[in-house]
Amino acid sequence: MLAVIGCGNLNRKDDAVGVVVARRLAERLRLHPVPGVRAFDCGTGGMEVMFAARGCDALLILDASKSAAEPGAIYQVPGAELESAHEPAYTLHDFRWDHALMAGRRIFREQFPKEVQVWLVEAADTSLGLELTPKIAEAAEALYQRVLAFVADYAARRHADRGEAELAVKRGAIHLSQEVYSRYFDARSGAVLFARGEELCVMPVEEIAGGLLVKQKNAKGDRSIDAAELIRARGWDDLGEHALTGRWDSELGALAIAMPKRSES
Amino acid sequence: MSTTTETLDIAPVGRVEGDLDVRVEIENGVVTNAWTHAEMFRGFEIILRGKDPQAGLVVTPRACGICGASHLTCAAWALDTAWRTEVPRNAIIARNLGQLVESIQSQPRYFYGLYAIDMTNKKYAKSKYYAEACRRFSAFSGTSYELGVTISGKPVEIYALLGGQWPHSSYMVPGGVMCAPTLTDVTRAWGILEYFRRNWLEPVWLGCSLERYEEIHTYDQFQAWLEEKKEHAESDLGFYWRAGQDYGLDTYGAGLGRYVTWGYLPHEDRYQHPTIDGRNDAVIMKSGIYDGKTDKFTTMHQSRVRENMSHAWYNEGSDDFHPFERTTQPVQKNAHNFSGTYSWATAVRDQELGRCEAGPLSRQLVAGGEHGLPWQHKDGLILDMYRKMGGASVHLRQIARMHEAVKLYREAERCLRELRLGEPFYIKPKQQDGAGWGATEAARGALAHWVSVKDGKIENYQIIAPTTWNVGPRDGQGVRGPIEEALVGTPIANKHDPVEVGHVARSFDSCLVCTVHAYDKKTGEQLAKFRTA
Repeated sequence: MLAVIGCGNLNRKDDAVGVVVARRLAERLRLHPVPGVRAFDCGTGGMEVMFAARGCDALLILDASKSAAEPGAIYQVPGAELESAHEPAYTLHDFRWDHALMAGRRIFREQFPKEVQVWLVEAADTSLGLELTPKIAEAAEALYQRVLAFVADYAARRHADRGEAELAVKRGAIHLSQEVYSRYFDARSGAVLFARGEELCVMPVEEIAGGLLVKQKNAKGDRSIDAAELIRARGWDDLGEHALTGRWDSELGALAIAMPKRSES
Repeated sequence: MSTTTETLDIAPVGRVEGDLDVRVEIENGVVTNAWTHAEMFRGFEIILRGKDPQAGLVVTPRACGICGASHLTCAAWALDTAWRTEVPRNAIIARNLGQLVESIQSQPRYFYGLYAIDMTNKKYAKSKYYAEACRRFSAFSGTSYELGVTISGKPVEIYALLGGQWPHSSYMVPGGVMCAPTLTDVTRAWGILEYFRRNWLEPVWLGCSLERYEEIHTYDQFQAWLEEKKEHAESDLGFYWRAGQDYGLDTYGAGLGRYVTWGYLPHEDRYQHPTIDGRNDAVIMKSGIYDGKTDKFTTMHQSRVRENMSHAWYNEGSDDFHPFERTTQPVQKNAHNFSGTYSWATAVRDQELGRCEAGPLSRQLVAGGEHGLPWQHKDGLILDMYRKMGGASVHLRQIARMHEAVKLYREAERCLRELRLGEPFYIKPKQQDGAGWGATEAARGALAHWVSVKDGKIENYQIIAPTTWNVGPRDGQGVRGPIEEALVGTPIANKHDPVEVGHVARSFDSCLVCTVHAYDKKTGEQLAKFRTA
């Protein structure tokens, strides 16, 4: 899972640049979800960063900077360069994302992202106001395009990690262990089934997009999909039990399963 | 023996200038005078002038990454009263629930993340509780610290179910809320509350069931509870109670002895036609001022509040003003002049009774009063402790806050029970000009927004936050603010590490404005090798 988190104050002109880009990404993801990618607007809530990032393997923080460089400059910095220890003040207000990076790593340990990047845009004006200045609005557009490219790259890398999966087809139902389900489905509860040659393809989708229900069978989280109709129609074996291997086809975004024919006897 | 006065300027560790700084004068190891100064200008009043009335719903929750829900609550109710909207009961419940889960979040986050860390200060190394305090409360490694900070992320998951995300949602709007929770959402919310209760609130915080804790109504019953079982005495509440007294935290930090709350949680059947004047009789937790010196309760009304800028960086003269009369004229260049102006916070006062402290202690003292309506919440425990322990202290301020955890939890449960999913959550309002006021209790105290709408635009927007009450400088009569007053009399064992000042300041859980958050810890040169455009 990748979390893209925008930080900053929308009431302070260019300080908002990270939030503006993260909100735009969140809106895009709402309309066109990319599995395994979430966008958050953490605004001025520094501590929320560590909760939003928990359970992810990658984290991208977007913020404005005041480093006395040329306004609109973009920095792409590894998180480890910027994380810092929080010294408690008289309020919780000064807990920022750079503290959240260290605190999150120490508290959540292996549940905190290994890959952390911080992308900063040098601000021109952080006085009171609700709009970005023109130069920073331009930089925000450039940043947004880079974030989209990063998201696409992340999605491709995730697919590349997907090897083969052990599964079973029993009497027309596809059975997925909890491990296989979580690796390929990212909590999505729908599946679209289709045939390509002698392969049965299982494409994970949001339930809202239609498809068949990926039913939870037990507390552990093993799942099954009733595929009898398609299996029968294609002349595959809808009566026997088979332990099979599925391969992830990253172009289709689906698990492809070579299916055994029904025996004629 | 000659007495010498020493002056200490205390800014938060590791920072040149903090959000909230403190100056104290010390004689013979005791604080004799104090000044608190807020170092940041808020500026919403200026941003919002001339904007669309609904801008307050978007702008003010950004004021604070910690209490955005409280600001949103106030902004929405302020417009409701100005526009004379009708708010359906489901919407009242959904707003209350958002407010409640934010405050529930604050319980462990504030206690472990800010307050209890000081219990591990080496000053207390000789206490028999010290080793255990370190085991529990040390930052990052303490058993309770880790669990508490982790679980603090849980309650606001309910906020995200309602508002789409946490923090910074604008789901509360005039006329109701922009959400319609499904049965699945409500079921998940129950699950989240249950998780919070079973994994922290009961086993760690209380060491007993909520039901057992709810049997405590007096100081004597609290002490009996403490002794009843090992689990009670060794819960974080029980342990803090014992260690705090051993550390002497019950001996200083009293403050000025007058306490204010706006009351909060409007009842879903009593505030569907919200008005400024109708609010006091509609809120579950009643409003009021408790004056410890006279032992009297007064119902609070927004018309009683005044701000004084004599010692703050504004060009608004030395008279007291009601927020509707404020003009917000900040002074551009300012210096600390401790006999003149020294803070961005204003001095807030009740026009009759004077300066007041805001926060959980205020709420819980007022909760013990006989004023208000029979159906409104009443709970006399903290008032009983206040009377029997000889007034307030750092310790009692903390206990009052810890005591609220259970009732906040119960109110959140009630919200989930009372939602009627088939009924409306929003009734479209008609915009109109007028004056509005919205208030609530943020975790850290009384919060209110005043708005006046003219020709369809915001003419004036004013906010008095809990920290404005507490951090405020001296007023027009030279009376110290609540934290300033609470610091006087504080013993300082080591002026190079004045942990006692930290206890007092942190016991108010100050919540200052969020200003610029841009990353500024490294220079362009240090970042140069990472520059890509």
